[in-house]
Amino acid sequence: MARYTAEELIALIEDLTEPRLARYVALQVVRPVVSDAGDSYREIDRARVQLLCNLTEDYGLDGDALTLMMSVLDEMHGLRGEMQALMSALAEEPDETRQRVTLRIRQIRRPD
Amino acid sequence: MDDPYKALGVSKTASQDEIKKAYRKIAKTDHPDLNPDPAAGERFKAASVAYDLLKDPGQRARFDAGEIDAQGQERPQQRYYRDFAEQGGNPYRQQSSAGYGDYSDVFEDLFGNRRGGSGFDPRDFAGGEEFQGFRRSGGTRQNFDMRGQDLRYDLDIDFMTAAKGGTTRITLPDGNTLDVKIPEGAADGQVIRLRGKGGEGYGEGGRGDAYLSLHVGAHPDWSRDGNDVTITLPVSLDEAVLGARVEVPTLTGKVAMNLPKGATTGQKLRLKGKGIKGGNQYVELKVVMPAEIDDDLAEFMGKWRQDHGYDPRQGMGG
Repeated sequence: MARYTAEELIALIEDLTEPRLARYVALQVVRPVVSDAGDSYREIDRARVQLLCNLTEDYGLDGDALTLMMSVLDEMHGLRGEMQALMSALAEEPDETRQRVTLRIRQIRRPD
Repeated sequence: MDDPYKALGVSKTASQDEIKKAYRKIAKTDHPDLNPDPAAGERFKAASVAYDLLKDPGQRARFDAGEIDAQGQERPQQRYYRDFAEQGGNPYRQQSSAGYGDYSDVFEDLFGNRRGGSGFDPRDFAGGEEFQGFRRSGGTRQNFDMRGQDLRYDLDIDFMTAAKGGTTRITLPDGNTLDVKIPEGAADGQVIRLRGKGGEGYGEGGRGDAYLSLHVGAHPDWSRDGNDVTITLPVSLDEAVLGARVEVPTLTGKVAMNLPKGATTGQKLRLKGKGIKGGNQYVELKVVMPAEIDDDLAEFMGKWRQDHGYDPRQGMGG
């Protein structure tokens, strides 16, 4: 699994600067993996910092607004992943089971 | 993508600034992390490739002159944050079954943390005593004490530290240096709690705690399954044929072990109780040829083969 140092990450991501990365770490919107050999960043951190830069550049997000946005995004992505898993499991079930579940969901979600 | 200008929606005479603005505009509306529509993802991808090509004036001039084309500029498949965040076990997500009310058990059954049984479960830390850390003093709104925030970190440790236990010195992002005690037999995904090493409290509230999720590194010679460990031990050809008494590294120093006659690659010998906390150590043999096949060996094998040839591939299909 690829790991990056802070310097490598800064070189890799166009809009990333040293102070900006320090700011993200201070806000705890990105958390490098710690070890006795120093900090390192995983692929997920690279992708996350790239997104953070987009949010800062394109939407001017920083501070609490950025923290809130990321926590909502994490929840949304996570829920979407869970929903996908649920649907793919359901899709493998026999027609009868799927119909029963579908019916029940429609009942529950029916507007009053 | 044939026409990068079209992908960005700008004219061929657009300034570098206009090109950047056009890319930013598309990134803003069509970023795959913010817009789940696959069409938006395609637009964003095309715009990214176009922008990569046109952002450098020298490269743009070469493209305009027909020296390079837009093909071959495809960037390696970029993985967006979403690709990671939709998977289970996103370290940044404070997953919780709270909010599912009576069905939180169902949620937990389906999506709860199941990493080897020792995974991190936020519920362990959210309730109960933690809330006692939060108290108002004097009943006024302005002047209250609150326990500091709990902080979460991922900590890399090497194989031996995890197996034998030990300390590892780390510097947290806030600049504090900590010696972290790693318990013997620490497992991947295990969480270590450091009381009072989290965020600073407010008023008279104490500091929060730090939670370190352990990630155990791989070792070239050792592997591990719970408390059992396996070492790959190279043996020479003559040791394999004749048997031998060899020294084997264990977690606590070398021990002598008898190799049986005719030992072979992949064969596993057991050193009882030499694993972690009374687990076993297995020694997986690997027969290694001499660096050079000299004339003596070749001559002997040539002769030997005439009467003793064998087919280890007998009975294989294909």
